[in-house]
Amino acid sequence: MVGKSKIWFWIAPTALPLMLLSSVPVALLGYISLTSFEIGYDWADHDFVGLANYRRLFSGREVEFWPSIRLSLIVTLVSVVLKTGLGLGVAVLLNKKLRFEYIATTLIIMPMAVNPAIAGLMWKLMLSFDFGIVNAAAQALLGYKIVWLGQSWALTSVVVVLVWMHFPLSALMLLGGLRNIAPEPLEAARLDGCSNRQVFWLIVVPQLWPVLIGSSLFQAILAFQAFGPIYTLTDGGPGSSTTILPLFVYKTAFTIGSVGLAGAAAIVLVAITTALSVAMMVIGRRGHQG
Amino acid sequence: MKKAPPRIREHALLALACLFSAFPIVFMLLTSFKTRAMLYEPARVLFEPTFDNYRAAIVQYGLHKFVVDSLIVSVANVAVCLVLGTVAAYALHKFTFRRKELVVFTILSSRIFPSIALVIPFYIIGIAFQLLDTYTILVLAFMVFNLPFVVIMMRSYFAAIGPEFEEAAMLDGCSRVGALLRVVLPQVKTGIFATGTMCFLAAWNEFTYALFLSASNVNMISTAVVFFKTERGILWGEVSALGVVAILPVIVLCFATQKFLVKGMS
Repeated sequence: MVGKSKIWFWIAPTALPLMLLSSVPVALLGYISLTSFEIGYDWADHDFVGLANYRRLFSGREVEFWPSIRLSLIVTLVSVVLKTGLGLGVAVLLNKKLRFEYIATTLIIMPMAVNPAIAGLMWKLMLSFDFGIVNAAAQALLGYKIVWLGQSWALTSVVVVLVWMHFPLSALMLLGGLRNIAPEPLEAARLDGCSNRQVFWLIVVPQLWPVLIGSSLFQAILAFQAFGPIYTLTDGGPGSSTTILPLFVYKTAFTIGSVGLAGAAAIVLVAITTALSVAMMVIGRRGHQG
Repeated sequence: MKKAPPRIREHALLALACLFSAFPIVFMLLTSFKTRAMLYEPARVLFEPTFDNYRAAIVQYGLHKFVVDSLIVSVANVAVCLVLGTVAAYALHKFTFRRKELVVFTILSSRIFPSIALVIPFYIIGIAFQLLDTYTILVLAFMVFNLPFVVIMMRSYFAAIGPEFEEAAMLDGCSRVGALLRVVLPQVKTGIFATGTMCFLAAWNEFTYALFLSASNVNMISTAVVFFKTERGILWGEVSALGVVAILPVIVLCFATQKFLVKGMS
């Protein structure tokens, strides 16, 4: 057995800075959310205002706050369904031992290499009204162009970019899950006369369930905190039609300069993502036991 | 034996998914070699390539400076995270103590915190300690997501190797530090390498912290795209050139280390 002092000799210099690094910024953020600090002033000049920032947010006087939560929920829900669906489809295909499997995998995971700001800009170029390739295709196929980044389509465009960026991750996670499923029960079911479709929905999907839930929750966390691609694609606009919660935090803190108020909104964001990750851990643990 | 069907439908669907994934990147590569006038012919694939966009990105905007800054921040961050994270992972793997799960959860939870939320306290720290727009604040801020990652990864690598060699070394009179350095670490070399690579990529591509914590002194390539705006609009050719330069090392690194990465992940 190792002595107690010896344990702390190892833990103190390593785990302690880690704990500080992870808890101090959040604690500081919590404190900032209780102050009236604004950009342009000295930090020493801030006033402690208690829960005033939260009251202001929740009262609806900050007209963009509740809409930003609503938009975040829509973007998260729709993009997670699409990412998981597309990821599952690709994972099933990659699991079929098709030809060119290696090159296909390489091409499919390429979006993971692109940094978020450049991803947003790439799509902004492709979706451009005048010289975008997407509108060139629309003109040829439909006979008219669409204002992809205008009021009615911008949110759809944001979802498309998020799906493009993140679906490869779902595909990889689900492919790993598919490869862990034992082949014997599937063979047995086929011999008993089950169709491929029945085998997939009745045997494969239930076994894949923990991975499906895990990857969906992880994707929900990613979608809820998406910032870079939307910053460069629409900057939350036009108007505030794509101002999801992270964009609201950024505008409030760095464009308007009300850091205290933005801190309160950021705490809401942290609370939501933490709840999602706790759910993920609980389900992950249950999956291990079951 | 039955001949395997060609499965045309499956191949077509997979090709479609590949197209969706790779097309934007290929399109950006093509755009980076186009003149401004050619932007209005987005579907044109055959054209005489121009290197003017790359030249402009380097001469007018100092692309090389962005690359150097990105390298400095990423390499410094990876070095610090690997050293601190590996030792912490070893300690967490070897010793049990009260509330260990809580310590581990606290460390890991910081990885999923939204960067747009944590950039606010880091901004205040930057103001208070006059660290805004320095390499230091970026190296520190990037530790928030890379350090827990090193701990998670290295813990699983340590768990995969048996304690026998290490115990034998300690019986032979090696101290625990000596055993860690001489016996344990050599066994997880590939793991350290794979983890370091992934940390480097995460740092190289980081956007939110880099955008708000740096201004004119430090400019990472991930945020440099923001400067390529004029009142006439975005300079698409130059932006594409910069995008290609930003993505290239990532793809090269992924290909070069794929063997290690796959080995490390499994």
